[in-house]
Amino acid sequence: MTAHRIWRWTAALALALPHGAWAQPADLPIPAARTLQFPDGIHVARIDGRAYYVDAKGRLLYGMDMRILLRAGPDPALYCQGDCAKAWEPVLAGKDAKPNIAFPHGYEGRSLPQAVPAGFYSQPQDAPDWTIIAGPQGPQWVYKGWHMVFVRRGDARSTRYEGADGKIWNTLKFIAPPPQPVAPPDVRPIVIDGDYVLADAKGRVLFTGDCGKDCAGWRPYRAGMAAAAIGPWRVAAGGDVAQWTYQGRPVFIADADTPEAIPPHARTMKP
Amino acid sequence: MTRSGLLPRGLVALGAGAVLVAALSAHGAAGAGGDVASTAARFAGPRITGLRRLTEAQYRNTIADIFGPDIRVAGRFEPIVRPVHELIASGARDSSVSPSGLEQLDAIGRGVAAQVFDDKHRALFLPCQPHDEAAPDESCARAALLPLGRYLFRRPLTDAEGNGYVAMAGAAARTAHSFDKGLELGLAAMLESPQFLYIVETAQPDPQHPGVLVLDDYSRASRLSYTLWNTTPDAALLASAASGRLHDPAVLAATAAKMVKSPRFEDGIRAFFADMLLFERFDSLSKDPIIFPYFNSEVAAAMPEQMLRTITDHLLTRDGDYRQLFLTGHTFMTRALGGLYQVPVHKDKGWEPYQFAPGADRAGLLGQAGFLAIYSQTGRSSPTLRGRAIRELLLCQPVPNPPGNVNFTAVQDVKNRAMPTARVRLAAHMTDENCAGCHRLTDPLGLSLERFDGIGGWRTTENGAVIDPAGKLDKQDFSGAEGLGKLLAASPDASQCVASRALEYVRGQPSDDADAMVESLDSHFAASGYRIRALFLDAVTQPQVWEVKEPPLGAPTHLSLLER
Amino acid sequence: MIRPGRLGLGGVVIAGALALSGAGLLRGHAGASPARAQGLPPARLPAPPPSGVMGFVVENFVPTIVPGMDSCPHGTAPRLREEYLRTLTADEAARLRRKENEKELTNLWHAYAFGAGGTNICSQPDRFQHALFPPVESKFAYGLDLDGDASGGGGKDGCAHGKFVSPDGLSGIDNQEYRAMGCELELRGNDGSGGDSLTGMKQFHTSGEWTQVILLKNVHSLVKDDDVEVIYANTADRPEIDNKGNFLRGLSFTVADKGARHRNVLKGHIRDGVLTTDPADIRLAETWGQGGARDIRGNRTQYHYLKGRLRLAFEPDGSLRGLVGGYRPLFDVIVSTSLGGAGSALVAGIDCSAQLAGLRKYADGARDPRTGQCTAISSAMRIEAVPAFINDLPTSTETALK
Repeated sequence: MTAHRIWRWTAALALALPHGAWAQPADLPIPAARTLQFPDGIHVARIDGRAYYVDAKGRLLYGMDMRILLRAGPDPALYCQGDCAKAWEPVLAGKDAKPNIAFPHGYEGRSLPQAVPAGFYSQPQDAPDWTIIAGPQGPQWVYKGWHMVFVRRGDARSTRYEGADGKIWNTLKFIAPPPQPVAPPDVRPIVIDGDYVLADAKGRVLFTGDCGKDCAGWRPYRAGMAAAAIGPWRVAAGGDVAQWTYQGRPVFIADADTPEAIPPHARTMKP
Repeated sequence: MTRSGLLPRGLVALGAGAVLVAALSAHGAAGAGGDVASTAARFAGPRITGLRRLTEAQYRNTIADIFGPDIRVAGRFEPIVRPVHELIASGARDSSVSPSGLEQLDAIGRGVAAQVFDDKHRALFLPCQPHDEAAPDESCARAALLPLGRYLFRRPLTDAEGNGYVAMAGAAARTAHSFDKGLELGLAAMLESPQFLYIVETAQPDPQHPGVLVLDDYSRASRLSYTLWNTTPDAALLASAASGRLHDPAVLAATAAKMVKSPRFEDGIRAFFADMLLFERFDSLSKDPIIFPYFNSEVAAAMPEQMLRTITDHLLTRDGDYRQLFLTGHTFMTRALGGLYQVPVHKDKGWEPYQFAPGADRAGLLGQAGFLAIYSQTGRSSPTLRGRAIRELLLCQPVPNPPGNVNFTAVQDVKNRAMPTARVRLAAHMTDENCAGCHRLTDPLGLSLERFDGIGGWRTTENGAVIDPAGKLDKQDFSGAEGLGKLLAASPDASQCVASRALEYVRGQPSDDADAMVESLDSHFAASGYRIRALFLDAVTQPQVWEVKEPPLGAPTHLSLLER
Repeated sequence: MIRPGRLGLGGVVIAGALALSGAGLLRGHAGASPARAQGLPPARLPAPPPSGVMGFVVENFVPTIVPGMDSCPHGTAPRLREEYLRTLTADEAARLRRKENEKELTNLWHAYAFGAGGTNICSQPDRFQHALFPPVESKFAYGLDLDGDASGGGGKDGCAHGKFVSPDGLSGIDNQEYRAMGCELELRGNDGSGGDSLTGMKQFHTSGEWTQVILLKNVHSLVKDDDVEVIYANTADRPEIDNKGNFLRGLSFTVADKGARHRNVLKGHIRDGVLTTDPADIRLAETWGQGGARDIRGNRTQYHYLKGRLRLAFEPDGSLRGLVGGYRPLFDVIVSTSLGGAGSALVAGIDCSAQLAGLRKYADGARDPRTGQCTAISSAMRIEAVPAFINDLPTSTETALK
């Protein structure tokens, strides 16, 4: 695996991500990437305003959700053969690559020829972003534990198979790992509309701006009046409450974690 | 003399609660740590004239203001006992802390201190780097603790106090091999000090009126802040106090005027009405879940909040006439409350405004589930409790307690089909002349609210019999909550009552001795159109409220832990 | 002021309504009649609210069974252990039943759950050919006449099937899922009074995992109205219950529009206090919440009724009571059991393969023109709903007034 330093680019890309880009599979939220180190050849590209993983040829990566395929056989990792393999090309990890994940088995595992080998990730949900599974055509990449990675033959950058075949297929979307800003202890980044913005520990969105005459909903983001500055954050104690400022601008807090909670003319804060 | 030391747990040996009061020193006089007992006896300058224990809300607000709202205050607070027919604000003046209460405060203070100097927050409150993280550093400890002490004690620390806490931090750092642990202990000691746990009021002779004591500037700052904002003085107030300007009536009035216009005045109004309406009853509110399935923990938590939102919305957001608080149909709902009221609620979380329909009989405070529930019994409504609450809390007309030998059988027999309604049952009960006198004061008011059950849910019948909401206030007949609300709104006793309570709240003592001030306040209140901001502004700017007429406390019998 | 509760009729009328519901069955009982065959007389029907909007939260959404063992004269479907023993000679079965051979028997019947390559009868039920269970043999069942064809011929896109008669006298009932699955222990219980499925469904509803709401708009008459909009949907909001487990009335819910929750807009007609809807695709969440590593917490399962419809009666106490019916894709019926994998077979003793075979045999809807096989099966669930305030969408200000 080769490191791909694309942080600056992806940060800029994240700004443009529209709402709804987070469904992976089609009807489930997707967590952010845990790493910016991708398998060889894989990188992030912007397609129709969204960030996706693509292969070295720029072909859009799809995930085959193994959870949906259990009915087809005891090892869904072996599902894509025959007609499926004609339509879908696996993204292989190299024939010498060693698998480190397998589809998890329940009660039925006792009857399988061999147990999950030591060193494998037994809980896919806890696996790192990129693992390797024994696929029908050799060691194959898996994204976030469940999604065997494929490209659609002949459809280089099309998203038309999103949710196809009973939601087996989903495009692999990219959300940058959360940044770690220098900020008051209660501040953390959350994703809204495909973008990281700052919020408090309860997810309430922070914002700045000028409320003009209509200041309803502009609640100061309170600081302790004994608190000192941290990074670009300062405590302004001149008002009725001690309030955090960021780069000299007073910071306010919404009452929810949604864009609708932010008053008109307010600006969210990018980490 | 009490000596300080470290308990095995690293606690400060404050000792029993009785020590708290005795541990106070008049900071202006004994600041140098001299012979305090003898100093106090002959001292003619500032002296302690009152101690008002912080309420739980004030403690929490203070910690949030000084250290930030993300610092958790975890623990149980020993409640301040309410004197009969008085406010808790008056009780706070006489409130001691029991040994177990002190243990709780000790744990709470240590919890706060541990957070302030934990890895997440340390950078915010430590302005320097110690020479050695595992050893004392007097200079750095002083730089960290003294500014915090100024906020916590609402005045600068005396040299003796500062030296004491720094020394304490140093000793702890040596023992624990941790500079941070030393700071933590020093801060915990401040948080357990009576100088923090009590609002210490100090007075000095009024140069304009010989023989009269008036509160000094720092005490004025604290009184203004805790009265109007229910929290500790902010930086601006402390600066005003430091400059001595709060003695100037014009400055004080301008400061107060600004404070009552601030959004933070809502916190003060909430605290005042929670005190006036005996909200501590919510802490022990329980209802029979079989009789009242709509009552649950969410509803119990929402009831007082709904009342406070209604009050602050009407009196502050709308700048409404206090008297209309008994009639307003504006309120706020949550999903849980919506079930009780049987009204639609759109938001799945939180609060949303709600306007009762005309004719709903949900008139103002009297039609709110919270009021109706806390003045009910566990399994039934209580016209008597409701009537008494109206008399005592809203009209300031004390009602005697019932005699000890009352037979409540008739009132409690709520399943008796022969006496299907509370009106019938109370009528039977009132054949006992020992009871009738008081019930004639309370029941005609409370019976008008009988269409609200023991949690404030609406009903029109009881045991199959139609409920008659007729009521009588003195000689005036009315019907239902709305009828009662109209009479209360028109009653001069109601407005004078809240004026009297406001004065008591400001001074921390009943207004029995201040008829003239109450009448003056009420008059000004009326002139303002019964606006609550005007009432409180008037109350805190009356020169007399800053005068101290009671004799000062006796001289301290010994010094605190800080004297070594 | 909107007051909660009844539509204006007293307790005496409730008793009368129960008398109409047939055969001495108590309301709330597993086999309670899910709907009156006929609506209340017009004189006893109140006027709808002036807003024309009525809201309900579904308190019960459970399989319909006609209780008793008459329907299953051969008893309930055998557990896998018994099923395995039936494949043996009498002597061998007797030998294995002996206590000293219990371990051997356990190993054998466990092995019966598995096939080649690690397949098992619940994860891959298509891979096995196990014997069918006996179907329901009674002529009585609850349900709806989905095809309008009294002959049971199946019509142009169905398959031939038997018709049931409901205990309250309606004929032409289509409920082949009940025919295929009605003798399952989970459905019928040991004594025929109802099994774990019925109580489990109530728990799921109570927990808020898949709570359903019904919102009626444009209701002008409960006697005759042909233009009622019916929104039958899931909500993410959790109901509150009293100490007897009954849903509290008059609470507010919001129709969920995210994730796997569903919102079905149907066209309804009211005749004499009975609401029916035109056939339409109805999809509702089925969140089993098993939480296993392979399960996606129900996001891939659903109640999907092809040509689905409602028949609900307005009750004197303000509630709605009746049925939802339609044709369910065959695998949907056993998907939750299948998600349980071999555990369903080994722990619960369920033979998913036999169940799927039964469903295929009795399938009567959605015929595949290529194969001629029906891919869906007629089905019905009992619904009881109590008055509630229903917010149609989070951004909407519209609220159902009960």
